[in-house]
Amino acid sequence: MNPSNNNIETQDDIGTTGHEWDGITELNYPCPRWWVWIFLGTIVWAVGYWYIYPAWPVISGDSERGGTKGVMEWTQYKQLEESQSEIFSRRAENLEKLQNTSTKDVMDMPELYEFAVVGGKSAFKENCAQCHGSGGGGAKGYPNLNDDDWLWGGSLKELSKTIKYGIRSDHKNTRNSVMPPLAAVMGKDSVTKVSRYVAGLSKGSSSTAEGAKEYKQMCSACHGVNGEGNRIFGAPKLSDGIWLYGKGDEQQIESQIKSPQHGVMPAWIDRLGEDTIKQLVVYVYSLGGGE
Amino acid sequence: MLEKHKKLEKNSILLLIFIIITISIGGLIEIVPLFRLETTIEPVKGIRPYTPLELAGQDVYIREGCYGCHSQQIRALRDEVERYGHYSLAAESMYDHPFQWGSKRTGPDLARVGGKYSDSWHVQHMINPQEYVPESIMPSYSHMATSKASLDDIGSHLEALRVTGVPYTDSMIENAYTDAMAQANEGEANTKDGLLKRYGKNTIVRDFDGKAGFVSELDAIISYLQVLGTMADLKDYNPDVVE
Amino acid sequence: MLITLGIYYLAPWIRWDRGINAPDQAILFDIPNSRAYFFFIEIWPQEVYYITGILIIAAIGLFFVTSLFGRAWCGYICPQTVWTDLFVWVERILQGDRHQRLKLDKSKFSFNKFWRLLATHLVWIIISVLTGGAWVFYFNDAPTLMLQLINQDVPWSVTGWVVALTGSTYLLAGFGREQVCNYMCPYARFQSAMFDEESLIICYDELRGEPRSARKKDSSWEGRGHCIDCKICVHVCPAGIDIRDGLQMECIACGMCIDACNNVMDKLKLPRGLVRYDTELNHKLRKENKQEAVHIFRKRTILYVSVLFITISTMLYGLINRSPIELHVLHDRNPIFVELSDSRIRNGYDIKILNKTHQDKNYKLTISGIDDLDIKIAVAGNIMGNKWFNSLPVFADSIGHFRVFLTAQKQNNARQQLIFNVEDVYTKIKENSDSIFISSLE
Repeated sequence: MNPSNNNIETQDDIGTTGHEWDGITELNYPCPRWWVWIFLGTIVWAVGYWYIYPAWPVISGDSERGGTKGVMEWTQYKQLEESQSEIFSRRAENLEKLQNTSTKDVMDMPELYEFAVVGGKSAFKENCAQCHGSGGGGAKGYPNLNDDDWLWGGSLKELSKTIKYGIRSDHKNTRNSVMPPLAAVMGKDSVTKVSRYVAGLSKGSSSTAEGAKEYKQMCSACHGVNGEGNRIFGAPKLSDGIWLYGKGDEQQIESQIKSPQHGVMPAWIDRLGEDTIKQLVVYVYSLGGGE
Repeated sequence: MLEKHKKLEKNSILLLIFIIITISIGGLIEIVPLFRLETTIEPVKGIRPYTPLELAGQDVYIREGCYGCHSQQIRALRDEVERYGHYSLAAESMYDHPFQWGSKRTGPDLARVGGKYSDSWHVQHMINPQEYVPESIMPSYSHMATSKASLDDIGSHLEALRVTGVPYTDSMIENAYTDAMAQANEGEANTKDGLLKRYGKNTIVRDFDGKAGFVSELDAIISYLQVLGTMADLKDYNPDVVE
Repeated sequence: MLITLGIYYLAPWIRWDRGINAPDQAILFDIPNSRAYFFFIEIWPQEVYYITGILIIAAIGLFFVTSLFGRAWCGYICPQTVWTDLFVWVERILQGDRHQRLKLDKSKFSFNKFWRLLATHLVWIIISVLTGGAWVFYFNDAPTLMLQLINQDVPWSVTGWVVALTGSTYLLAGFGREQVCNYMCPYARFQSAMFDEESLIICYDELRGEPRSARKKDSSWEGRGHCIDCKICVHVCPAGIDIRDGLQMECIACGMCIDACNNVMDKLKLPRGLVRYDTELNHKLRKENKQEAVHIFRKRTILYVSVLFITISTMLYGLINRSPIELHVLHDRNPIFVELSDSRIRNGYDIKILNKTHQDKNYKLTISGIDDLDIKIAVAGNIMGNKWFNSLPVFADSIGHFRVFLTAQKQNNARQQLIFNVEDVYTKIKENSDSIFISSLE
């Protein structure tokens, strides 16, 4: 092969860069023109950007946080405010209606009710589902919100109070009650008897008359003579099949008497606000257990 | 042009000088603004340094790599504010060394998790996350319940942080261990008052893991989680007001 | 051309009385309310298969017509052809015929050229705007929208569509023209598969025309064909082909070459039809000196007709028997069942009743499958007692959404089959839906 034929340099008037490595040279093609123009364009764009948007840090800046503000005075906080006001205005009509309607009346207004349930559902998923389950099904130590058994009451009013101020929370209006550890007072024997009696109550069998006396003496003040519970103290109903800790077997009941467990529910009023709580109340009520 | 460049390329001293000049320009542009970092921190009330127990909790948080899945930074975007609450302020992480902003959310953001759930939920959730959130892929951290929180050298930890600019006072450093014990409700009588005096009356004092007798890592990390995002007084915070 | 244009522009103005609760426009695609109206047919979103059916009928109808008459669609009905013809007609009036137009194109810039070109494009744009304007009437109540347009008070979506269709009409009919048929239209590509020897196509009768050559006046026709190679058929062709080369893909069977050639033949006092509609088979038969033959009933056409018949009758059957009620029952997924304090089991359901009539209706709900079933229905937030099952209210032309809670003793079957039934209280028309009652996790 004739090397001169293979040398592009001689076939083209482009020329080389002048660099040479072991006889290998490099053609000196210019950058494509479209590329050059776009490159220059981006520089111009950047200058415009500095002018319009916040860009440069300012050394002296005693009046400005961060740097230059740009003529549009754009900040992410303003953008947030705008996008929030957009969604708020979309919700405003229903939200305003919701604010001016008592929770009881919402139940009679199909559209507003739908709005409240949907809003409540999403707030529930984010804030409540971690303990009560995503469908309100509850977990050990956290009540099922679907059933008809309520510790503190399942009416709209009671639900609202529970969600707002919580149970044994830091809030000053919180619901509060403590079951005292009774083992020391009662003695081991009597704890076993009462446990068996209570387990029987739950199963509907009254044959275990043993322990009834101790129960009446120690427990009935809060849990009721027949184990019907008392919502003023949040004392659970003992005569039904629904148990917060375990399945209502004797050992469970015994351990609860010896060292009582107490659930805590945070107060949500400062975190979520009246409107969201109203929606949550309607949603929880709609799960089927509302009273 | 090429000819002049050739001179530069063939003279190593000259090349070195020019390289230094070039890098300095870039370096200055990146470094100088950091000297004015305090101008970026918003004036907001309520931010205090972490208590010794919370700090021990943060150490556990870092050791376990929680930041790998949880961020602590709520961005000023509508969906995030809707979900997590007020967007995070620079002021809220100014005493974090290192900061825990994170960069990946496999789990949810934790910047405002404080007060959201009860202590016992945190305890059970750390031991078996799937019990409460069935779809969760978080591993179990049950070992925290039985390990003793490392509080013996917590005072020197505070001292080290003071060097980086966290305003721990001498009395805070001196009483670090007793403060930590007091916050977990395990200290001597009256030590609680000293803690509240030093860190403010809103400091949460509880037996976080519900187990009396010793201060576990769970106590520490739950005390840390329960304070996250709760310090700043955001009610009258206005981003447009500059000090 | 006038007929197709007329249908396009006037169809949305046809009224069709559907009673007080529905629009009275005969053809309307009501997107915000997700309904489509076509004279007596009314379609809900979940019945979109009717539209599929209409499309199938249209497609098979097109195949059928193609196999009989060739590209009749392309030449006479296709909007691309109709609007191109319209644009060409405007061009001819304002700029003269082809020769004049070529001359004008080549001529230097002058006032004459300027106003003619300006006027052409102006008229084109006006036609385009009207086209886009008519399109939006199919999606809105025409008289209302007309008033809105006059008052310049229209939703942005309408403006968007008008602008988009104006642009596409202007580009496709003004500049795209036969390129659209050649490069964009899929039908042009696959229609050759639907042709057979007996499809009617535009044919040049080469037995009669060849050998062609230019002819001096009064010279003899002996020893030569009737084609005088005037090339008028080529000039008029919108697709720019020479029909004398035989059938080509580009041919849209518009028949312009037939008209042009017939004019020439008339002048030459020769019989018409040197270029005409004919079949390939006839062409072949003539070559072989056989009798010409037209078979309308061929395997292909019979097949098309029968498919067409089946589709139409299925659709008609569906339409005639279309229930005015639809019932959907969705069992709760989370939690799938709830144990109550008296150890009974409760299941929750979302039910949706679609009232497709134009009257407000009341429905009666009955549920069978389990004895001793305690039924509770939530109307808005209120859980209603038994007397309410007789009158679940659903507004005209809308969906009623109710929560149903069923409570029963624990069943032997973990999943007990249930049948939900709703009945129109007045007309007694019924509708069923199956569901289940879950009482344990096995």
